[in-house]
Amino acid sequence: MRTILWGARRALMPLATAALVLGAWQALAMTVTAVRGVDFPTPWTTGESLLRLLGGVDLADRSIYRHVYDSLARWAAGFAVAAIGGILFGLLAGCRRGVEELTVPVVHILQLVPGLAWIPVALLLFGIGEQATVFMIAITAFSPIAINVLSGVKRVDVTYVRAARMLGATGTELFTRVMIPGALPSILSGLRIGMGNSWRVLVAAEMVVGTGTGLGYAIIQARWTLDYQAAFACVLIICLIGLVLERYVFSAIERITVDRWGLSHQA
Amino acid sequence: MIRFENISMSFSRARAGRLDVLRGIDFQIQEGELVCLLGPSGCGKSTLLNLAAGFLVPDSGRVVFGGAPVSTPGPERGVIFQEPTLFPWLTVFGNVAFGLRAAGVNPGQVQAKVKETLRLAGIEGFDDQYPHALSGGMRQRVALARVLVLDPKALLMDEPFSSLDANSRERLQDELLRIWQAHRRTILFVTHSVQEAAYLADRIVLMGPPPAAVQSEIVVDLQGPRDRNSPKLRQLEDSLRSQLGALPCCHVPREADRSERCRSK
Repeated sequence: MRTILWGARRALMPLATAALVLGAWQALAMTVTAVRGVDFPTPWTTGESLLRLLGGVDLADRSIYRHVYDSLARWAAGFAVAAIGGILFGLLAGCRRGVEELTVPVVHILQLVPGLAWIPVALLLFGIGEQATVFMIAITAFSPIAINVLSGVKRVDVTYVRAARMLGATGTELFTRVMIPGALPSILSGLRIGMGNSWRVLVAAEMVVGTGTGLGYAIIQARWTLDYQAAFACVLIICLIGLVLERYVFSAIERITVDRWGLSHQA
Repeated sequence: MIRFENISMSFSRARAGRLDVLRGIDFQIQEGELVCLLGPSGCGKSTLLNLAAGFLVPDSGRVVFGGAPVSTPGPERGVIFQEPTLFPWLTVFGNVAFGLRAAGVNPGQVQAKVKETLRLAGIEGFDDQYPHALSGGMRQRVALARVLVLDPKALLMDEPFSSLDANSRERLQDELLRIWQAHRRTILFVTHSVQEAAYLADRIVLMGPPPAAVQSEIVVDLQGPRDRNSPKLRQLEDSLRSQLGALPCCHVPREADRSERCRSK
C-alpha cells in the first residue's frame, strides 16, 4: 500500500508542479491585466499562439520550425567548439602544472564576464552575423567546461594511474583509458553547466546580434509587432528544448556511464 | 630475483623539512620465494614495495629485478594494492583484459586467457558485473586475476587483505598459497599482521621505525600446508609479536606525487 502511494506520488508530482506554475502564471496575468490594463498573455492564449505557430503560421517572416532549427544549429556549433576546446584544455592543464598555473587565472576571469558583455567583442571580431553568435556561445560555455574537466583530471586517483602503468599502459592509452573515464563525472557536469550557459546566451545574442532568424530574434520581432503571445510561446519552446536536452541527453549519458559504474555525482 | 641494493629514501614534508624513511636497505628475494615484509604501520614497508614496483625512484641505491635495474612499472611485476583499485568504468572482464589489450594481444586470445584466469581466481560468472557491485573479497580476487593474466615474474602485494573481514582474509590467503604452489612466482608481501606473515612466508623481513633498515630476517622452516593452530606457528607468531612490540610505532605521511599522474613514457 505504501509503495503504491509512493508510486502515485512520484507520478503526480510533476503534474502538481506544472499546475503550480500555470496557476501562478494565470494569476499574474489576470492581476497585470486588471491593474495595468495591458494584455498580459495567459497560459491559454500562449498555448493558442503556440499551436498556431506549430501549425505553420509564420513569425518574423519564417516558420517557427526554421527559427528552432537555426537556433539549435548555432548552439550545436558553438557548444561543440567549447566542448572540444574545454575538454582538451582541461586535460592538458590537469597534466601539466606549468600550463595550469599560467592559464587558469585567465579561465577564471573569462568565467566572470557576463555572456552579453561579449557582444561588442563578438561584433568587432566577426561583424554582424552567424560567426559572432557562435563565438558568444563558445566563449561562455568554454570556461565552466574547462574548469570542471581540469578539476576532474586532478581528482583522478593516482593509484588508478599506478595500476594502469603497472599493467603496461603508456602515454595515449593512459589518457584515453584511465584519465578520461576517471574524469568523466566532472566532464559531464562541466558540459551540463556549459550547456545551460550557452543556451541562455544564444537566445540573448540572437536578440542583439542581428542574425535574422532564431528564437531570440523571433522574440524581439514579436515584441516589435506587439505579438506578446507569440513571444511567450517562443520562451516556452526555449524552456522545453532546454528541458529535453537536460533530461534526455545528459541524464541518459549519466545513466549509461557514471551511474552504472557506481561513481558518485560531483557538483 | 629482486635485490634491494643499499636503498635510501626520504620525502619532503610541508613545513617539517625532509623525513628519512628508508636508510641503507639491503636484502634480496630468491626466485620462487615468498617473502613477507613485516613492520609497524608507517615504517616504510609500502614505500619499499613502491620502489620495487617502479612507482618511486630511490634517492640512492637501486632495485635490481631479474638482473636489470627497475626504473618504471611494468607487467612483469604485478602489484596488488591495499584497495583493489579496479577501474570502476570497466567490467570484471574489462579489468582483467586491460593489461592484455594494452599489450596488443588479439581478441580471441584475450577472451580465452581472461576466462581461464577468472576460473583460477575463483570468480566465474561475474564477467559483466561492474566492480562496485562486488564484495571486497571478490574485488581483491579480480585484482589478483588482473595481474595473474599477464603471467608476471613476481607479485608485489601491499597489505592486500588488510581491509577484508577475517573470513575472506583467511580464504584469500589460502587461495594465494594454492595459486602460488601451482605456479611458483616470486612474491613480496607487505603486511603488519604477524599471523599473516607467519602463515604465508618462507622468510620474514622485519623492518624498524624510520629511517628504517632491516631489523632481522627470519627463515620460516615450516614445510607444506600450514595449520593455523599448530604450536609451531603459534610460537613463531609470539616471537614475531615480541620483536615487533619492542619497536616504537611511527607514522610516515603518505606520499602523493602529481607529476606521476600523466607521465608519458
